[in-house]
Amino acid sequence: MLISSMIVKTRPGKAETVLTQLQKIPRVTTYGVHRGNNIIVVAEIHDIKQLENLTAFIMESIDDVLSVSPTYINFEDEIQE
Amino acid sequence: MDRREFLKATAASAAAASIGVDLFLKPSQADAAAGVTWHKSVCRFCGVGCGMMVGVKDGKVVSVKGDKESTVNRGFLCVKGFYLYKVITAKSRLRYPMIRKNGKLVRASWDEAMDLVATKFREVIDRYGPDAVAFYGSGQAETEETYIANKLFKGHIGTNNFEGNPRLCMASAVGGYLTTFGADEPVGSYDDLDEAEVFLIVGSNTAECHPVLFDRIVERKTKDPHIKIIIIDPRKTPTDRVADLHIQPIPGYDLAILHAMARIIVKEGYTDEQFIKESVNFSDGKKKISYEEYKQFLEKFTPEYAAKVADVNPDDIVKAARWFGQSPTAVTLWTMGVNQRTRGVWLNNLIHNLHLLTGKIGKPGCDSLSLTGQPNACGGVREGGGLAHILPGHRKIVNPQHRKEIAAIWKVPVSNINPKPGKHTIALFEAVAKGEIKALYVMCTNPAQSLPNLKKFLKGMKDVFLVVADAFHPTETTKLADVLLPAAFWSEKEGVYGCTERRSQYMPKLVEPLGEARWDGDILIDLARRLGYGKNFEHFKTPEDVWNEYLLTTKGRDMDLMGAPYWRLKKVRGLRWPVPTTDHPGTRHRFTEGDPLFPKDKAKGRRMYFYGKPDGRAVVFARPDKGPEEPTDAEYPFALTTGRVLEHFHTMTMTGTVPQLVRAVPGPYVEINPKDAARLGIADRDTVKVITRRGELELTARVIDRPREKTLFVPWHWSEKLANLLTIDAFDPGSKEPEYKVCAAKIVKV
Ligand code: SF4
Repeated sequence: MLISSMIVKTRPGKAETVLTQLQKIPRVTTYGVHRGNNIIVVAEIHDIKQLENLTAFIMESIDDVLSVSPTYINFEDEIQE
Repeated sequence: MDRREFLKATAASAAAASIGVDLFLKPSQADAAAGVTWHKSVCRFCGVGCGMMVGVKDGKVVSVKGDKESTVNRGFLCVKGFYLYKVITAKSRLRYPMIRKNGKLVRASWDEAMDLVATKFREVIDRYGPDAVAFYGSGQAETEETYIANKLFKGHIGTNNFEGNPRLCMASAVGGYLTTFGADEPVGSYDDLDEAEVFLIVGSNTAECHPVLFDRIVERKTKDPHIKIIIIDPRKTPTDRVADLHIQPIPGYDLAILHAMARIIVKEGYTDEQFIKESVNFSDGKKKISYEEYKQFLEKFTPEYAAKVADVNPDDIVKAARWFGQSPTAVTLWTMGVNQRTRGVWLNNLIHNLHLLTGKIGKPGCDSLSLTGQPNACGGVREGGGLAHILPGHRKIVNPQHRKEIAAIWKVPVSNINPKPGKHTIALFEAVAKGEIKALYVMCTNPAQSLPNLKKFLKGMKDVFLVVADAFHPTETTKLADVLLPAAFWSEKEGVYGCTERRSQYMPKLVEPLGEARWDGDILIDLARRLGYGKNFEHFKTPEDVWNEYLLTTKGRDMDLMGAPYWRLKKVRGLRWPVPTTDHPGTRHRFTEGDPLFPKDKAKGRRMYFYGKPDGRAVVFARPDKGPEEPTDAEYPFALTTGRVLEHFHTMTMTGTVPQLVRAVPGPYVEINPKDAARLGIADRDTVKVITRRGELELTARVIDRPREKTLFVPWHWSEKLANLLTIDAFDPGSKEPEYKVCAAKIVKV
């Protein structure tokens, strides 16, 4: 299991709507809206491909998302496996 | 809190820290609990130069996060950066030396392999002379590695047949900076992105290729919706998401648009006349001309004329020029769409023209900033002198004084350095193909995939005695090698990278190299010793020793790095040259107040003095507008353009080793506009053949409204479908950079 975090930036005034959409995605935990339009997102994923799909999905399928910026990844489990 | 929740909290805290928010765990608490030690490093994947924190546990890299102290990325990364850990342990890492025996690559000892390389190189040099050997390096190598190779080949072997892949991606940018400003590399820096009110993005898919910088632009636009983003690019890309205006010219016909913008800027009075009077000369490329003559030259470039040439809307050109002209600040960004052209240098000049005419240069929020694709193209190759016509410290081979200075540092007679520049990349591989170059050392790059018009060069690469030092195997190039030398990879060695904004950053060694891999510098020193030049290399005991000698080559130069020894680079998040002393903070804008080299006495009150030019004036060029080398015609009616997509980096040497990444996009494809597809009866996912005068490829059609009509786009990453079998090897006469970006093609359904 990989654990990764990212900041999802939305158009002004749209953070709450995007947050609701993000909360519907399996294995995604949100940690609130901060500094206006930044949503903290943590994803639990099996491999990086999933992370890539997830970031692409957020970018392309959720309206009013301006950017998805990965910030952290822990792959300790994968190395041990 | 269980382990899973703990890791999630750690991840969330890292994200929070990147936006300046305190959440749950303090990073120090999390690290202590997880047993991870964090080390400041730099991302290995692109020229943005993101600061990266690398988490190590039990001698292994176990996590990475964006370095929030880094002014480049402030804690953010892109997905590409996350793949580094995968790459480091990829199955295709080369773990031991190999030599070709009876046509097959077989395992060998280091001694056997190095002996073979040295014997063969010595034989060729003695029999055919030093120019019968050559070196081909990379913007992914560390500065220290390129420096050692440079010293060995140019200073000891005595050949300037020394090139690197940055020739293929940014040589035109170098030519542009040199001709316009008299000195290579940008005037400003990334800081200007945060203050610009207009962004002009030309031939660059910033969102996919430089995502972290794109995020900074998004951030800027979010804070101030009045900011305008203008794109000039034949293809729609994800960068369009924030664009206010997209001008989509026919590939290869954008010079006229930039001239037309300049004309409107002049006509409608958006020029900075004081700045022009003090700091600008005009030239037609051959001789100095007057401002009036330049205005006359522009007369032809009405918006209607440019619009007709490029097949765009004239009102859009007017709009773009007005936005650029009326805004107090503007930053222009560009990459390969501008550089990989037979008139790449001219196009660079025309971008700089807009900034010089409006005085939007050398002050906050203003810059013409060429983005680089590779992490150390600027540092190791441009600054380190890693091409056939240059020497370290922004010196030229043809300059006797420059040769003398470098020979003194290398401790060799000046006669060792050939006064004639060596062969540029295309000429070098042509010489390989003709058998004139008989032994070639390739370090950290994959020319058998990345050269244009590949078919012409492949046989030569097979026949030459080819030594490849790389971290991966197989690549298209390693498959042709006679000797393969396993090289240490990111985090397995220390060294310095210099990114787009003149910033040099230190990367530590954190883990041991995989298998028998060795630091490239060590391999080259070994080769020097075996060739009988050991004396001048034996003091290089560590990469730091190499860096210290390299620093001497920068002393007093425009790219002075004397204030950036390892001890300082280990503490700070990189330094932007010129940084002449260890108490100097580095330079945000060159040629102006704050630049330690700014000659106040000569400037005499002028805001900017371009000290690379004899009279301190930069040049606005009246360059003719010229189309591509191979325009479309009845037989080949499509303009073919090639480029990168997010999931890949260069020729997949690195990313191709990660199975997930390879799967991220479907197999090799060609993008075609729906209107063209409908006309030709091509449906999405049909198999099609793309044909040029040089070759053909069978690909899957991706019918998508990204390329403009009459344009095809092929990503150039797949080794089984080499896009460069199609591309043209015509090159810019100034920069010698090939025109990957445009050639004529046809497409047929199979
Ligand atoms: S933008 Fe470039 S340097 Fe930054 S994380 Fe992505 S690949 Fe690495």
